[in-house]
Amino acid sequence: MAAGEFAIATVETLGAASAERSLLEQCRGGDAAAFARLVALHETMVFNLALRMLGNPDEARDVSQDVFLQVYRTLGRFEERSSLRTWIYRIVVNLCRNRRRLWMRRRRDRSVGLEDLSARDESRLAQGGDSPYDTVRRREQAERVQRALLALSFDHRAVLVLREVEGLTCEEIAHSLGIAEGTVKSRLARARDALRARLCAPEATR
Amino acid sequence: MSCRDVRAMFSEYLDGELAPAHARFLARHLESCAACRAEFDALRCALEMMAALPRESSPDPIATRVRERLELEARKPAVRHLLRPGRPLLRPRFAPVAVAAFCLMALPILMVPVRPTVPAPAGALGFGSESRPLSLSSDVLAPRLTQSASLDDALAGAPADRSWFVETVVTRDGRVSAVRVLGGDAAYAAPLADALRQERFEPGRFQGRPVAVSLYRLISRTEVRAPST
Repeated sequence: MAAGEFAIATVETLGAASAERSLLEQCRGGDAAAFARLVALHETMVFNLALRMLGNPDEARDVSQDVFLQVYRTLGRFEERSSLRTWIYRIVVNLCRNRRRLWMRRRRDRSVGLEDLSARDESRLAQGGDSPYDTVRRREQAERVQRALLALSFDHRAVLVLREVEGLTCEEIAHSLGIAEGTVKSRLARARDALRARLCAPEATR
Repeated sequence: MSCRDVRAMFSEYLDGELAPAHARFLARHLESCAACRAEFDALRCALEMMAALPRESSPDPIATRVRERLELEARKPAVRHLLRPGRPLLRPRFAPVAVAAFCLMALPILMVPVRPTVPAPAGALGFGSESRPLSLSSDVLAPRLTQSASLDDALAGAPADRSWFVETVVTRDGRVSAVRVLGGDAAYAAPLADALRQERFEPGRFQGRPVAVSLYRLISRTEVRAPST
């Protein structure tokens, strides 16, 4: 290749695992720009998980900030026994659990924030070519799902969101929640059934 | 085996983790038992609704909030003990420089549009679709570049030692649905992203079927790396 010509590094050399390892080394070396990249890579995932766990965009944003501050402060202790993503999921779930306990102590209304959420969903759900009817239908469906999720126990909600929304394997969920893989599978089965009962029971779909 | 036993296997069946003999039994049972079939369809419906939840963005950029908090903490001696002694990520005396670098790197991220949301395909939970692209792993066959982009115009004038860290989402039909410049000189982020959207690929594959894949690449003027495979 002639000198001065731009070239693209082949994709194989920067698979997710090697890119992550390189990024981690840079972060641990004190590279703030690398930490900014780490935040950029994971912020959507962190925010969405927190949003589905808490049902409130403002709370989800605050938790997301706390997640990355905790990542920043404890990255030196991350031993890479799981992927960085799985480790971050664990922090998100733990911080959401703490936030939830705080709510319960303050007797906060569980449904708070759903209106905000649906308003935000509306803009994201309005896709090119959709009719207003489609947009409204999608918004209502997203609201229904979020309400059903919030009605489940925290543990059921966590395992469902990690599996069905974030796409983690049972092994990754076990790492994220600090429980055995067998427990994940049985909890997932119960959580799915609970969600079905709230969302798509045959009598509810008529 | 009772209907109750069959229903207890739904979750594993959906995950493809049921033993073949049990899976065949369950499939036959669903053909003959309307009540179980209705419950199975309801379960699949609930999971598809969940997978179709839209991907949201934070009301405020989280990177900015994190940077501001770190900046604030760097100014407060009382919170310095929170940084791990021995191997801190950000030494207080370097904090101003690091925060400035953080701002510089966060800028292109804020300039690039968010990934578009696409509904999950019918009958699947959406993983490997354009809204939930897969990352490369041993199970995912990487997309192969069939039409490269000309970057000379986009990066004209850029110093030779510059590089950019880029995420590209390659769709199931080999087009590029999103490009995010995650790091590098912000002045070139927009033209670089525009140029990379012209790339075309043989799509990535998972278990033989085309899937959307997120690629993470370094773009530099001089460096060409040989495939590791």
